Amino acid sequence: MDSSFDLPDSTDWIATSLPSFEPLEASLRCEVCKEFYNNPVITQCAHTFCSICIRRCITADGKCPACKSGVSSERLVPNIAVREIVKKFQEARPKALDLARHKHDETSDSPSAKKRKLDDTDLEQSEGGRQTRSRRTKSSRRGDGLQGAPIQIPDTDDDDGDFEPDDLPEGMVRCPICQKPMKEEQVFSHLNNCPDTTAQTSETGRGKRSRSNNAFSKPSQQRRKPPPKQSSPAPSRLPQLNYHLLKEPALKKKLQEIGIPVWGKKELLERRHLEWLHIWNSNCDSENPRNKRELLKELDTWEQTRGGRAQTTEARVMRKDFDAQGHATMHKNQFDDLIANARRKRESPKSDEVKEEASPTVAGAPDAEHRSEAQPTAEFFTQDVPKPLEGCADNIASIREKVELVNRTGDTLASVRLETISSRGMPASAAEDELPSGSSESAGIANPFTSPSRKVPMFALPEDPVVDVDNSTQV
Amino acid sequence: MASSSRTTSPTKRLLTELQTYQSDPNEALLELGPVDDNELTHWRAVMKGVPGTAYEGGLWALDIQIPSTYPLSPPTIRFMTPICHPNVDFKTGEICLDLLKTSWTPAYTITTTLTSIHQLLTSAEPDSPLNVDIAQLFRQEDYVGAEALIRFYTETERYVGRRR
Repeated sequence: MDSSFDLPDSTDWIATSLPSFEPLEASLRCEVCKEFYNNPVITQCAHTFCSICIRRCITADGKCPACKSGVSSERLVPNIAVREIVKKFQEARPKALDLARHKHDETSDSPSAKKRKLDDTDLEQSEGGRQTRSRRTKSSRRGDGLQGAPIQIPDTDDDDGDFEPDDLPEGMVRCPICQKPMKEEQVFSHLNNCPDTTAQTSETGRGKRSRSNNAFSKPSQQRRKPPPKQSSPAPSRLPQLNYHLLKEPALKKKLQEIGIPVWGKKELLERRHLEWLHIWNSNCDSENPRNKRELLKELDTWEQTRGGRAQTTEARVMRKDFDAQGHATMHKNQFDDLIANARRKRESPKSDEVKEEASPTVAGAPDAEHRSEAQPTAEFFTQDVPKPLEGCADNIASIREKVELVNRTGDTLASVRLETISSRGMPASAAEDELPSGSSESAGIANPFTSPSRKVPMFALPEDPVVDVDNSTQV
Repeated sequence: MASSSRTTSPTKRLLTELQTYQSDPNEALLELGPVDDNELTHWRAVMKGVPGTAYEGGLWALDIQIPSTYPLSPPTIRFMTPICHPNVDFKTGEICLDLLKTSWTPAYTITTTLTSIHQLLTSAEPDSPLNVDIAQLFRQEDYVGAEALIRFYTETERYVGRRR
């Protein structure tokens, strides 16, 4: 994800040697779009935003995004100072960032950039630094130059014998261009007017440095002469319309007069007109207003992304006016299928259970007197129950018959019991031993059939616990 | 062309925000980003508990749905991992925070919004509860009980690993 996109952003400065530029750049960015101010305007609450951003916000809720006080689009005024600052900063940014990054790379092994600067005024330290510097790339050398730090660039080249490590007093540095010593704070202001900008380009052994000189002095040269742009008289802003008072044909006529598309319903016409107002009026705040064709192109982009031709791919977020009824009818087939599937799933295991439950209940019936003792453990054995009857379809069938018989009459217990027990492969003697005690409990037999919840423990009883109980009683 | 990047679509701004987060991570979060690279309007975050509070050591996944009108309208954020908090619905994860409803402004970002939610963990408003049980404990000033309950859920409902 990291490498797939690269957007300039104020946090670019954090990892460089100039982290304090991060808040500086952040303050030159619009709070709404998080980009550099484009046609910045100031509101009546003295906050600055991009013209188009604040206009959209005002249309959305009429409040300042920063302080939430009411603002109106009529009272927005271009903020020319901010516009200039942003423009110049954007021009200087790529190089400054580049320099700051390289500077950071080379000083990352030393404790801090500040310390290095001080050390370099010392002769010995700069001797040591020379070795590392010889491996440096061209661009990193440029980095030293702009910093205005006492690091003297040309000392890396062998033919640069004219250079002598300077012994300037602390806090004093040399201009990287004209070598004139001056206070550290003055370097930047001096650089803008350095008289030596072009003088040294021809000098041998300093070609690299001079290239950086040119690159650096470029913005400053531009600054000297004001932009010669002679724009045509600024277009006038369009007024807001009260859409409630306008019928659709009247609105269409308005749109036609302005020269924007008139297709679609009234709601769309309103939105298109609003967007046109945003685009048009923000263009009026611009230093170099674009022509109407460009604006119409922008409106067309809006039409594709948000307007009448926008694809409604927002199904993932449930809207407030979501038509649940319509959705339900539209996807009824799918819902029905799902319900049917769920029902089938629920029924199929149940039918198995019924089959298994029905058979052993009879066998369990005689052990009614043990039920109370065995119940807690019974649950643990229910899972193992199907095993004895597995693969004995005949037995199960016969058992079923017996069950029905019992259900109907209730007095053929003895025979049923005998047969079922033998069919389950239990030791006949053990089963017969039970008989006298179990047969007397006729009440316990009737219950298990009426209450399905009680079938489970009974069903489980003939298993090991029963045998254990019997053995223990016998012993 | 600077103004063409200022289209009404939130894509550009979301990418900027993502970049900002990656170079300047939010301390309240363990991770933040789109669920899927092709779907930039659906993000997911993992929030860390506040050290020194009952939420200490907790991890909660949050689901972030971003409307196409973003940043003019707020994102929809809810807790995916259950959290015991007076202003968060335990079952649906809905968050009761004015920032996400009435007092949203476009100046907020996803990261700052999540920071606000993180602060909500320590400054609960038991008077507008979505989780009545814990809010009741707070209102009766049974802080020991409330903290115990929160610690219990922080421990048992901790978000683990990456599930999609």
